[in-house]
Amino acid sequence: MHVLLVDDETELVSTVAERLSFRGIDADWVTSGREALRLIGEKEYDIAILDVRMPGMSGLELAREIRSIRPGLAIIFLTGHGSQADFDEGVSQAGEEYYLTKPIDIEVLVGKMKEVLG
Amino acid sequence: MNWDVAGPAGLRFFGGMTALTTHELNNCLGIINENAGLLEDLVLMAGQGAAVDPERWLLLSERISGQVRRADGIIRCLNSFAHSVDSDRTGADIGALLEVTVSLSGRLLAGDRVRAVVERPEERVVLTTAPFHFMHLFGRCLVFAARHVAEPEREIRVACAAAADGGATVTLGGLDRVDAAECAGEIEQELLAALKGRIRRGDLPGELLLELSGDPAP
Repeated sequence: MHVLLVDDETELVSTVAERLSFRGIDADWVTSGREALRLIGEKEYDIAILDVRMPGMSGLELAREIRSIRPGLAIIFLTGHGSQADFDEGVSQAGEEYYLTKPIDIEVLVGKMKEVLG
Repeated sequence: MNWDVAGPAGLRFFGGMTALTTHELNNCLGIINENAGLLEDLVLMAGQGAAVDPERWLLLSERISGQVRRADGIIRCLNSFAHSVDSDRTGADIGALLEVTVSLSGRLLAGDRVRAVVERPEERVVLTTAPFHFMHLFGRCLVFAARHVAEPEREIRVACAAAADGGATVTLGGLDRVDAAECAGEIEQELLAALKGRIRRGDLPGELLLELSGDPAP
């Protein structure tokens, strides 16, 4: 399984990536939507895990961009306690089952990833 | 001040700043959670015989401490902000109010790839004012400044100084275009009336001035 993690909090995203690697999941991480789009253009991923609230391009905007270039790429949203509007758009894009609230439980995240990939 | 105008806007400002702050605190908790989880993973791996460099434990411990310090700073700012509504007339350190507002607005500005820095004056500028209205007005000026920040720096430089009449002047520098009338909309006008202030273009290019003629603190 090859995963791309996108979150502007470097320490968070790098640690999640390391913990996923301990569970046999190959995870790249970046801290901006722009970097994410560059990597998605270069590599094949099974899942993108996106923070909803990021400076510049938000996770929701990034998801729209990803869908235009990689329609088949599965997306899981991560969020803090965001606004109802954010939640509604995230759910409408990905479905409530693929919308996780931070702080995350790594085993729940891994379970969701397996669920997404069937 | 017309409360029908300034009241709802003030509540929205208060709510918006609080929401931004809870998001920041949630990020701190998220990072602490992941580092604690990584510690657990490493303990488990060590228990299974894997060699784990002791430096890793130290690094993770430092990371958790760092996030606790970060959260402590955020909570201090939020606490100052919450107490800004305690009084409509009190002696306030203007530099401190600017720092709290900039700190709380940081994520909002970062969303537009803008940074704001406060240059504290050598001597404290203390003014009898309404701290919440001041922070609300300054916060709105920051949002305006972010829309007109000069490229490529994208940095708003904030400073304050005591004025000759006993008031204070706040300078927002680093803008590419300054239209004071555009900045001073209906809500800003109400806040300016309450604070006995005005907004004008600075003498130097790219500067917006917020001038307050409040009574000096006793």
